[in-house]
Amino acid sequence: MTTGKFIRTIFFIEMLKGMAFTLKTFFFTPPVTRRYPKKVRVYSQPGFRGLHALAKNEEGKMKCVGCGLCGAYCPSQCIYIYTTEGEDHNKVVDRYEIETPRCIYCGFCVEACPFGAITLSEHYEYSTYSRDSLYMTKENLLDNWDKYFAGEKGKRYFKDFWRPKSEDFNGYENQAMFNKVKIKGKE
Amino acid sequence: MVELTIDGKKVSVEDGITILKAAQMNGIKIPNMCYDKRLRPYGACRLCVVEAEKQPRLLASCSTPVAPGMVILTDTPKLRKVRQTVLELMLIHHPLDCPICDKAGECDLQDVAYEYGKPEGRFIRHRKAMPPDVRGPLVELTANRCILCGKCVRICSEHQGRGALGLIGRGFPTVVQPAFGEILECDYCGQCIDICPTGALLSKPFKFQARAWFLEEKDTICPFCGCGCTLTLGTREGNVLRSRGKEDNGRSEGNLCGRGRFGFDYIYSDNRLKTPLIRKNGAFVQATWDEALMHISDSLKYIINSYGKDSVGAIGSHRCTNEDNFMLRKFMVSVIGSHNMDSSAAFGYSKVQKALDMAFGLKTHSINMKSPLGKDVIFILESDISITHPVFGLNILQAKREGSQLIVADSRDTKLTRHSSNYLKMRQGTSVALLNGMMKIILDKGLFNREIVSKTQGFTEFETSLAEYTPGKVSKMTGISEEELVSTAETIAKAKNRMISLTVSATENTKGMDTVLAASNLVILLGEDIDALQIPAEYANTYGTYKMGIRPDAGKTDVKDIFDMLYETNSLNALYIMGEDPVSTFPYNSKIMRTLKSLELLVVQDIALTETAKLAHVVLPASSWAEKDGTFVNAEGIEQKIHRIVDAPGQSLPDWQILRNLSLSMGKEIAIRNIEGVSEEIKKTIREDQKTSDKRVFNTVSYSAGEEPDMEYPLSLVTRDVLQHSGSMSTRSKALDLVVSEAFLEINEDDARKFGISDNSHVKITSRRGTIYLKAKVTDTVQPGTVFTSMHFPHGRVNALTYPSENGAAGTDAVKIESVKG
Ligand code: SF4
Ligand code: SF4
Ligand code: SF4
Ligand code: SF4
Ligand code: SF4
Ligand code: FES
Repeated sequence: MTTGKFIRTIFFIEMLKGMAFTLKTFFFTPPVTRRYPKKVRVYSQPGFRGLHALAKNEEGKMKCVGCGLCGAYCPSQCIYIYTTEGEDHNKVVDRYEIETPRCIYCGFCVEACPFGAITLSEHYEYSTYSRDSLYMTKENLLDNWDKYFAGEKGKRYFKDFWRPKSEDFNGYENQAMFNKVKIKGKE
Repeated sequence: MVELTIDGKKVSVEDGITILKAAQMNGIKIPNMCYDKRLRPYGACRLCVVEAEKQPRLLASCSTPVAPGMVILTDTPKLRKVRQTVLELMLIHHPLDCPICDKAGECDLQDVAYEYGKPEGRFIRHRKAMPPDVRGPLVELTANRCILCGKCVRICSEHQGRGALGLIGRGFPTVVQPAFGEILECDYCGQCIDICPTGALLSKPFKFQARAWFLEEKDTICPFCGCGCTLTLGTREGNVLRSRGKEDNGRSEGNLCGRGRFGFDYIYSDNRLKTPLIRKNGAFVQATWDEALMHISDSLKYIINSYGKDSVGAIGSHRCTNEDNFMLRKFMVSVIGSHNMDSSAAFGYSKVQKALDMAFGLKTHSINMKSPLGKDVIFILESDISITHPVFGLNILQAKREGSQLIVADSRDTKLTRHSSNYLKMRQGTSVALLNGMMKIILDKGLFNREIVSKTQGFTEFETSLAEYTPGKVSKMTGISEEELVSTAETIAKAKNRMISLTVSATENTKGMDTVLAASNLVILLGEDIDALQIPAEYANTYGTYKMGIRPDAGKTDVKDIFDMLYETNSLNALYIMGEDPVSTFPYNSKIMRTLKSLELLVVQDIALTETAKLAHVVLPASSWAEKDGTFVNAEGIEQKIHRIVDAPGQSLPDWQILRNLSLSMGKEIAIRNIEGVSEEIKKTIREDQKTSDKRVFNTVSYSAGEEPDMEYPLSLVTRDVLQHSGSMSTRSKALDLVVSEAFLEINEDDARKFGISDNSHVKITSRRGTIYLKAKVTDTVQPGTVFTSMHFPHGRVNALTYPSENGAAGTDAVKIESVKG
């Protein structure tokens, strides 16, 4: 054993070195993790598939007609739609509900909707202490639109991230019908 | 047989059938939109085109018969292209508003468009923009979605015999509509809804209720009439939302009438019972099952001890399953020890049964719904089978279309009289005279095999008894001319084979046991088998109720029947009524009410608070037909399963379970745990009755009028069923009530004038037994001197006027009417 090594051993130099590093990182370097929810990372990827919202048209009315395609397509079967006949014999969506804890955020509902009525917003922070508040009702979902798609954002949403299907439709108002769908490889 | 090749498969099929049928029989699918096997080929859609070898043009397979050696191709690029073009043309006008079209998901047009259509149309689209016709009560027409296949028009006129719809207009603006664009007024069978390949015809009660893919479909048996059709109920989250018929499904092969299609919602009526009720100080108080059952068992024990077992009686029900009725019988026999049991069949099927036993020695009489087909002559006697048994009626119409001669004797115009080859307009309630008169003619003309028939028991008395029924006299009694009588008798006697049909039930007062006896005589006289006589049991489980032994003759001889139990005060001290509403549905209800009020204990077990239940001491809530498992036996004697499809409301229980629990609280263990236990027990105890017998007996019957009209009561009241209703149960259906929701008095124009009555005005009707008020409907479908009404509606109280006819005679009532001012 060399003297140097001997001295290092009896004075715990290596240990002190290690502790110095620990002390340095513990007290003087900021943590990598964030102290959520006290500190929120401001970071959002456009087109992120977060909490659902039911889109409103220019007049502020719900776009959904209750066709049930989203509910049929949904792989986790968590969309419930109840319709009835309205006073002037039109179709009225009485209840539109999404059981969000079951949703897998695949975005199929958005893809299925012929009217661009259901959307997935960029909002993902909606954990809560009660399970009930994760059950989205029609009113919640419409509010979500106002909250997360206000103004220009809502207008751009489909153009930016989904094929703007409604542009494939023509006909009377509120009537979905295909006019021209471009087929791949055939222009 | 014809041999041909379809898609490389060698098939051999009957001569004369179409290529489409041949393909379908061999499991080869050809797309089609205007074909239905119930209808004649039409060839409107051109989707069913096929290629045949050595044929330059394409063939519409639905309307081309097979030929030997044909080589058919059903799916080639050329055909696909043609079909694509056909669809392209169809879709020029189509709105494609699938998102708000209730047909989506089960739409034929969607399916073929998905399979053959192309995404792009070459034509400038011209969409029809008619607003949907929502005026009718049950069927909605959206002409925009119609592809003019004509199926609805054809099923309505060809099959349903109604002809309410037509293709109106020419060319592009053609639409399906009732005549003159009026509100659709028809049978409301909804057959057109099922058959429409698009969403042009839709059920209104189901409108926007649920998308097809959210529905869970389950088959069950219709709870209304004796046809026993199979309903496919669509449920979503425990609620029945619609009922439809599926092609080739069940006894009805997918046909349904309006009651089966729209009437199921009676289970959601507002006054369903949810808890047991006990009368305390004159008012009902909610009780627990334990309290109610203890109350009943204590009272029953007390009554048995004080007055004996025979002071207890029970009424079973055609609305309940075999299992329920069997348990009622078991409860009565082994717990109470009494055989006093009867049901509504006493006014109908029991009478038929008794008569047929006397004539043919058979303890059971089942019909065959297919029996009209292929018959030379069909003779309908004062019955509207198209109303009481709509699907059986369809077969009669089909037979007529296929060449049978349909002779209908009736006192009013009905669908059958409209389709008849001969319509004998008769006076109400004179069927016996008519039959006797016809038999007299047959006897006199020797149109029967005297050698064999004269050996039949009772022939001599029978022959002499007919002496007075000369054509002249009979013509006076029945109002049918002599010539018509003679020619009808001759036609029926000379026919190669024949079917004679009528109905007998509590809701009709023009026929009785005598009518059945006279009809049996005719059948025996003509040397026919009992199969020539087709008298269907009235309701869904009338046959089963009778079979399960809910009848007075099933036990000992000195038992009390319904006439003793309900019309004799002091004959009973306690009565247990299961699923029946005598106050509304049985005749002479003021007397029934008096009897029921005099009872020491009246227990009513029903799904809703009926008029009878309102008089009860204890009311027990039962599950309805869709809320329990069990079996029904239809008029054909075929046992079919019904299923628990939704949950029963509140604390209600299946009837058999209530009876089992009651037995337990009476201190008698019935070793039955579950529904399978009941079925096993039934199998062990109930023996199948023999279906054939050699017995033939003539029973002389003489015509006796019911209550003859006189100076004071100048009109005859006839009660008949209404197409949209069946018993009083269906009146709880909101959908059916949209069509007819109250009893009305049908009166001839002349009589109306005579008594100063106008259409829709209120009239006071009085018989010797009571008075009621109804709305009048002035019509020319009834004859002068008679007024018609129906007894479905408890609030109509028609049974305040009627009386039960216990001997075999018919029981028409004499009434007077006055118009009510104000
Ligand atoms: S697919 Fe669109 S329009 Fe249809 S129910 Fe869903 S959100 Fe509404
Ligand atoms: S009829 Fe069929 S194709 Fe037409 S709108 Fe309805 S579901 Fe769509
Ligand atoms: S409901 Fe029946 S009777 Fe009425 S239009 Fe349709 S098919 Fe004809
Ligand atoms: S309404 Fe329906 S069944 Fe009738 S013609 Fe049109 S598409 Fe055919
Ligand atoms: S009422 Fe009779 S004919 Fe009508 S659907 Fe029911 S069983 Fe069939
Ligand atoms: S099914 Fe043959 S033409 Fe329509």
